[in-house]
Amino acid sequence: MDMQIPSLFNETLLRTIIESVPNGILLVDSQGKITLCNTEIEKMFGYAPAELLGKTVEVLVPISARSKHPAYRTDFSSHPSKRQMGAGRDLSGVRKDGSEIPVEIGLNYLILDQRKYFLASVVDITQRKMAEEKLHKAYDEVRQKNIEMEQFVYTVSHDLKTPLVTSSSFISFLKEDLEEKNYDSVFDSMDRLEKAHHRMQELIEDLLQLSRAGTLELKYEYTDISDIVTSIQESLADIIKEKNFKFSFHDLPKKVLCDRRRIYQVLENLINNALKYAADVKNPQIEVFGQETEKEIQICVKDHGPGVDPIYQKKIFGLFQRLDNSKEGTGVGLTIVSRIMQIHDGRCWIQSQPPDGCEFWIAFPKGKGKVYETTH
Amino acid sequence: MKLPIEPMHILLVEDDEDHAEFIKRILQRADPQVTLIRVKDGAEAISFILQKSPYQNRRLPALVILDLKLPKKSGHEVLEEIKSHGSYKSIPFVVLTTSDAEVDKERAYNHHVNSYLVKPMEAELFKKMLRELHLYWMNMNRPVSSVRSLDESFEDLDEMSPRGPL
Repeated sequence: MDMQIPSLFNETLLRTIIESVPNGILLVDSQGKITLCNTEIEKMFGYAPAELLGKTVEVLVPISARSKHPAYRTDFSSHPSKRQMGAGRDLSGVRKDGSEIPVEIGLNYLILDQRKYFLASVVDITQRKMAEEKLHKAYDEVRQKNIEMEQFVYTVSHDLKTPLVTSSSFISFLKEDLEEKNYDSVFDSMDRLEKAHHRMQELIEDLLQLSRAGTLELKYEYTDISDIVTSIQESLADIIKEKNFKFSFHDLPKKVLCDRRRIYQVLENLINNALKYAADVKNPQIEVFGQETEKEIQICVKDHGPGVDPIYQKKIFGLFQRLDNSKEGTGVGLTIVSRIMQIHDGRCWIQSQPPDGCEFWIAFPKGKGKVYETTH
Repeated sequence: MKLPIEPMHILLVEDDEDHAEFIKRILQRADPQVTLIRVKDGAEAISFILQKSPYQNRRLPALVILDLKLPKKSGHEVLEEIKSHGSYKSIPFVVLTTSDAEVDKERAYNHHVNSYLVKPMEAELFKKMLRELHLYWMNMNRPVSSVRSLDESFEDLDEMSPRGPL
């Protein structure tokens, strides 16, 4: 390489220095031609040794910024100084194969043999960017978890207090009634106390289930969904019969990579909901079926009940959210469903146009691609 | 001269059967004249107050006692909707809830509720609270309802006591 290297430098010394630094180094003349570079920059941008020499520096600039770059050069040459390029902005360079890499560039200038040169020192910050992104993601996740936790504590404290208010209230009525020998009311109060007690128990059990749903490691295995649905049908056979449901399933996927027990819980919850909310119609029906899309394996639990008004559809996945208090349950079921699907990197949603029944969908991402959507 | 007193007409928005029963019994003990209508969720409360079907011909309540955690629409959503209606926003609301969270209080007062009460877990305190609630609103209603139209009087109440004791 016998470019315009000044004579007062010993070439071997200069070479050794620029090859020793871990950054890419470019010397560019006032026309923008690359007159000197080190191996680091050739590796960084995917060029063969000496391939960059004589090319204009714009070959390393992404197309989107390429046309403006010569003007920046002129500008820099009229106010030359040692500084960072593109202060505050994210810079990227384009490699020979067209891929872009995030870079940081320090600029300086020098005059050699009365010619102006720009010296650019380039750092590939791909790794740093990746680490930053990871950190951001982790931070967002922690923040999201904190928000969830706060909401959880808030909701739980509210809902656990409710039966306590009931019991203290009716214990006081009970005392009054006993003093007044008003025995009819005594039984009413006792009933209410019993129910409040039962409700408290239910809440605590469901909360435990929910917390387990979120914390347990998943045991992935290939699972036949129709197996699961069959055993749920068997375990709920009495209720299905008692409430006169027609229960059917078809086209269920045979091989879904999931935690069998968790998905059992999900489908059991959805089927139980259908049994609860879709029973008061003429010919109650539950249909469970699967379908595949390009990205997902989807399973639907469909009923012919009254459906859910679109304005409430987002809400129902929230903790303790209930649309009808006359039905049994605590409002934890769909939260569990949503949580379990989330940890499977899947999603769940509802489709319903009242009064034409209701479809609850769950979906698993195909392969390793992650399809992720929060549902509430 | 004694002013005529109208019996107090209250709308209770409460999803919990037992809490509703307790509130009703205590208020009616305090004043057998009280008429109390209960609805079970936020959507029903909005229909009732805005006199939508099936509540077209219902008399407007003189006071709404509102729980926050409700099926379908929350108490906050009820307030949002009612308080954005020019002609209904003067109806007084008392929030009665188990939540003592600051966010709930702030949100409720931002919607100009007249007061925010936390259901006590001590029955005697709860009874006392309800008796005082009744007494306060009975007195608030007494002089104004007889001389001025309903709407005017409520606007006054809002000004006089946006965060009254009860």
